[in-house]
Amino acid sequence: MFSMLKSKTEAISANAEFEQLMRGAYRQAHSVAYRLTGNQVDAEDLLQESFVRAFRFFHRYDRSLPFLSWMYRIISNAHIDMVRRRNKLKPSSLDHGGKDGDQALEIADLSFCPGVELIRSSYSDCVQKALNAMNPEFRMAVVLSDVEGMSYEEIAAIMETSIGTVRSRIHRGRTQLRGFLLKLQPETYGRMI
Amino acid sequence: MSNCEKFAPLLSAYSDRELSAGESLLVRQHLFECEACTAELKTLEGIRGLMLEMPSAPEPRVNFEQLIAATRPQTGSRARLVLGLACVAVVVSLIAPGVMRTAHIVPPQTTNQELEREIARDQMIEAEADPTSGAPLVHLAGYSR
Repeated sequence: MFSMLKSKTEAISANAEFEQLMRGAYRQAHSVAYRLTGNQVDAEDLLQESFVRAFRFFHRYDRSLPFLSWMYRIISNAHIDMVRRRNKLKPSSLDHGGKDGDQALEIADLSFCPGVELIRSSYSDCVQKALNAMNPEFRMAVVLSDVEGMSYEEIAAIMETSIGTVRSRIHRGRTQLRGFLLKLQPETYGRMI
Repeated sequence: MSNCEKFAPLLSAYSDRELSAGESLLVRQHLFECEACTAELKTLEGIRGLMLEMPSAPEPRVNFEQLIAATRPQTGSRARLVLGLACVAVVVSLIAPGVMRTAHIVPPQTTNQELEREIARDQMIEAEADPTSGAPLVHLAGYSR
């Protein structure tokens, strides 16, 4: 009886701790989810999936690491799963690159999209489009570095990989990004980059 | 491997100041003598600039409480389960005593034949004679009423 009460009390305090940490990380987590997905609907789906995973595996959270970094790791993994799931559903939508996604993915021809002029009028929308077309691992590394301003060491800890791999992903990610931007708007970005 | 092939993958890390001091020095020396890699570095810095200029993400439409609630889908179903079990317990506690009482108050049924036989025996003992034949009863030793 005592042990049951004790475990119940521990569960309640863990829930309270989770809620408090999550409240602090919520907006940043949403920001990264938005950058990774490129739209509100998918960002919210990703955020919700990440919340559920974080809650389920909260007992594994190492308190010596920043909670936000742990959360980014979960978002990164959930996002990669999301992209893979969608690629399975739409196998013909992407041109598969090399084994590690080194080669560029095929971008949809925006001239057939409704409201394309609105998209083209905004650099940020175009950059987001190019981000969406990137390999998800490269995208995460670039977003964490350029948008969140994290060091390579922090990114390596989040993505559970070596600093050398992060260095490579960021470089190849930026190279991919340039390729997509030049493909989307050659006149604009041909002069800028 | 040419020098450009060797140094090009390091250019992003160089612009992010993520190389060691020794590596940075080697890259800087190469950039001093290579126009192509200098142009490539500028391009990569331009890409980074575009990323930095991106507006911040819009406010989330879903509120924090909704997300927290979504992490605990079992809370509602557990509550429903507990409520259901409580209802079953109440129903059982109301029905069970009645069922048990009914099971125990049923008296042993005696048939009319048994009753008649008992009456005949009592009459026989009273008259000290067999009521059907009229023959006197023979008392066995040790038998008493």
